[in-house]
Amino acid sequence: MKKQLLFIVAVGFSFLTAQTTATFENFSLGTDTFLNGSDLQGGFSSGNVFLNNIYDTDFNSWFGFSISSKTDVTSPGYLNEFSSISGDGYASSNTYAVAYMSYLTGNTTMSLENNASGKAIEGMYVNNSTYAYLSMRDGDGIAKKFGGISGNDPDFFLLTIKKFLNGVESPDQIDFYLADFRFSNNTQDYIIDEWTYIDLSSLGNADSLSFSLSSPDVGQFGMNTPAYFCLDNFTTKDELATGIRGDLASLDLTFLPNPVIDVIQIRNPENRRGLVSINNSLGQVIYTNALEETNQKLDVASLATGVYFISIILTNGEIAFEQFLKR
Amino acid sequence: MLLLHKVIHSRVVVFFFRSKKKKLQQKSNPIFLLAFLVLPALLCAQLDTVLFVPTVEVMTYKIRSASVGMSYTDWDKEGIDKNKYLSVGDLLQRESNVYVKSYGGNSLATMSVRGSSGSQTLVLWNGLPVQSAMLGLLDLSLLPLNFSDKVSLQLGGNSSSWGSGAIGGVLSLENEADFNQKIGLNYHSSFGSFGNLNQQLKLKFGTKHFQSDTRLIYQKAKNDIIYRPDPSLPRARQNHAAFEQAALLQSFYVQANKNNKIGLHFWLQQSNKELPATLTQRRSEAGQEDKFRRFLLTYDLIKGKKKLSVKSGYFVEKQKYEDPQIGLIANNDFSTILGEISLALPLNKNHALEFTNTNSFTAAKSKSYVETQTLFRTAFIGVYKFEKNNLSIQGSLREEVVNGKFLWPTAFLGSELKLSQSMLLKAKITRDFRLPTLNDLFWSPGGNPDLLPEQGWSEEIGFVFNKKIKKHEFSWSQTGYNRNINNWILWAPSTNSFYWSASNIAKVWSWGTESRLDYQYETKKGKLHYVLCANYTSSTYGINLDLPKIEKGDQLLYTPKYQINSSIEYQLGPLAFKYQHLFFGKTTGANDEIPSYHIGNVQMGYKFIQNKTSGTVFIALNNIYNQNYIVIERRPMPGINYQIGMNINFNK
Repeated sequence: MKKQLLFIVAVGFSFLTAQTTATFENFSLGTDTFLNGSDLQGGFSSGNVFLNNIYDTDFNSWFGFSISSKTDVTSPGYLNEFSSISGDGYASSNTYAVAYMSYLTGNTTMSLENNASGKAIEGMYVNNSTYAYLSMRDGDGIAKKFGGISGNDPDFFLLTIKKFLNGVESPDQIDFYLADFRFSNNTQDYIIDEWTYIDLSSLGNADSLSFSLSSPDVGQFGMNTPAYFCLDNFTTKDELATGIRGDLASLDLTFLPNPVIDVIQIRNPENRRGLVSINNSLGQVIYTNALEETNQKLDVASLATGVYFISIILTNGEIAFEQFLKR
Repeated sequence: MLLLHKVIHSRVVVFFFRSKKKKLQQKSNPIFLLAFLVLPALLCAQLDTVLFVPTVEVMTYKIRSASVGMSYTDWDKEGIDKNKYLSVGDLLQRESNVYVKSYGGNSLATMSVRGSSGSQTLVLWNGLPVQSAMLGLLDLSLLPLNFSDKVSLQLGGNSSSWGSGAIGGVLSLENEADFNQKIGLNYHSSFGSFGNLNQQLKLKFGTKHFQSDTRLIYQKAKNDIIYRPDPSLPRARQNHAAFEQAALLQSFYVQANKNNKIGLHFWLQQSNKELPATLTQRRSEAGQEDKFRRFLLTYDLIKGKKKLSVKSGYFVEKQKYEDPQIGLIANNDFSTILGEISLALPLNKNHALEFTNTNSFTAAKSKSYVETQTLFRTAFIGVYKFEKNNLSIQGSLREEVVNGKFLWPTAFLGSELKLSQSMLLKAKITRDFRLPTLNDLFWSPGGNPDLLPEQGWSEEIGFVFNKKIKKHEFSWSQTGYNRNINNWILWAPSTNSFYWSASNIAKVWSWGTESRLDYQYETKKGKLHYVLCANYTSSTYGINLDLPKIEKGDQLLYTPKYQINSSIEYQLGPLAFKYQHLFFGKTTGANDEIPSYHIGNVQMGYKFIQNKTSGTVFIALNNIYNQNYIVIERRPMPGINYQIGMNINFNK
């Protein structure tokens, strides 16, 4: 029992740090300007996140994320692609991020870095871009005004956030409506025009996120609604999501034999995905690998005789562990 | 001249009247008949061979423009006079069986012929192409009908004779002198719904050796049309749709003798359009200005049966698109120098040749081009024409060089066979092409300098049947066609970049039928004329694409499968009445399906003549059933509207 407590404490300390918030103020942008990736660095780091950017030098254009301090809340059209509809960042800050979805992949991605990698996320603030907001409100030469001709079309502008852990996409996702005109009472229809918090903690541990946008205004050439949104104050927990379930059976997993001489076999009939680790009695991680098979084998022949802990961290943040004896 | 929108002479009518004037062979040559019936089937399998036709005309200087085996409709001076308040786009929409894609009153209008795209119908002004080298299009709403003395629409491809873009058809606008005219003055004034005002002046004077022809047009419209945006909503009025146009065409003609003719034309035009909001757009502040200057010098030298023609043109066009809402100003300018020399050589009464060399140099600049882009084209065209008894055959071959690169040769073979005085058979096979536009090649981002021309074969077969029984005249023409175009240019996501770019990725198969019935009944007091045109058009993609979303077999956007155009007109003394009914089947836009619609138009006119002065007054009621309809998705079209006007002619 003493050794188990020691393991839990060790695991906890190994992940425990303070929260980190990416405010994007570290780019020290002056007012009304932007960074669109023309430095070809492939993205932007702030806090513990890295926002991916792809920049095309042939056409001087980008997709993914840009960093902006643009303030234009009145000019419609793509020439005003870097402004948030509030004209500032969260809490009147100077700088924020702008996301533009690629038509090729339909999404854009963010990586969690440093102490946030593979760990839990708190949440973020989002807002509409001026370009998308005015297009949804007024229509433009390509996209329709939301509600359509009659005002009754059940239009929406949906932001979908998915997470990846160890390269595996989780089926869990968070949907957030940047605009919603599906109400039978049209007075309830809305388009987000202020920074709004999205709680991402239910995603559990992650090492990257993908963002995609959708609307029903789709034609032969894809979605007509401008595929932009703005993001600020992205907060990472920098610790594993809580959710210690107990032994492996609590996660529908079994392992054998115990005691073990050379090979541990993990049976994973539900084909769960996550991370499998072995810690020694001091809590030190001496083995880690992806849990990715229904019948996974771990070679422990080289371990010294003694007591060890096998731990499983699933992509949804659930944790289970058990003690075993190596002979 | 009464205001009768008489659909002018199709090949059917021309043939009919010619048949009365000429002594034509009563019996068909059975060998030619057999050849005509059998060869097309063989030729479908062996595409570089031939098809055949008849001889209805005596051998003339028209060799390249003879259009043997083709279907066409043309409007002469009379037809143009009756419709002079219309644009060429309006005329084609009402009087022909092509489909005009109109964005609304005075807004962009292009045409789709036999399921072609808007840039696949070539537009010629006195034989030289006038389409935008940057877009490949010509806005037909900007072409005043009254600036032409003759308008001709050839249906079907003929690239070997006329060059790039002649896949769907060829629209020809021509000016010609009347050296018997001493002085002629024509004034047209009309006004109508939605602030429409149209003022036109035509002044001609001269001698048998010199003619001056001056034409002026000023027209404007608010185009604040009333429409119902949705059946559940009240009617609304469109705003920011005003149009204003001023144009001058000055022509001088010199005829030293009947063998030497010089023509000099100068066409200056400016049009300004406000571009209205779509139905799903709250407002628009966008506008467009189109300006051009076109100079053209022609010289014809006739020696015996030979004719040498030289043409030289210089066209400068400027287009400015401005949208203050989004802070966008786009200037697109291009200029083209053209030169053409042609030698027609009738060898004897049965055989004739014509050789043509045509050259053009275009320079275009735009903010979206990295640098000024140029295009140098030169082409050599050889045409052979054979006429004997009831058979006519025309064949042509064209080799074109574009910026130093040789294109695959294009060819045309057409034939006509007169089986009897009442029956004419015709057939043709052509290989046609369209060069990529400068925007397709060089637009940044997405332009693709490696694009190939769109090209393919088309085949056509049909007949014309005419009969006159006492005062009743009847004609029926029927045409079937088939066309396969490869390397169809589409803008689509590229695998090598994250931008949309132009690629030769599509194949399009078009086939269909065109029917036309004409019935005329003429008495001493009056004349009745009924026309019915019906088209079936299948024009489908031969590929699957994710983006743009295309499935193999999908009909092209804005291409109705069914189209019917009918009219009945009655002329009684100085009075004339015409009712026209148009039906267009459903089409598909990029986002929505566009429902089918019916349109009814009525025109009434009164003609007066006093000494050397004549004139008409007229009233036209359009869309008399006040139909809510759209041609282009999210673009409303006007409900019921009127036009009232007068023409005054003085001739000496």
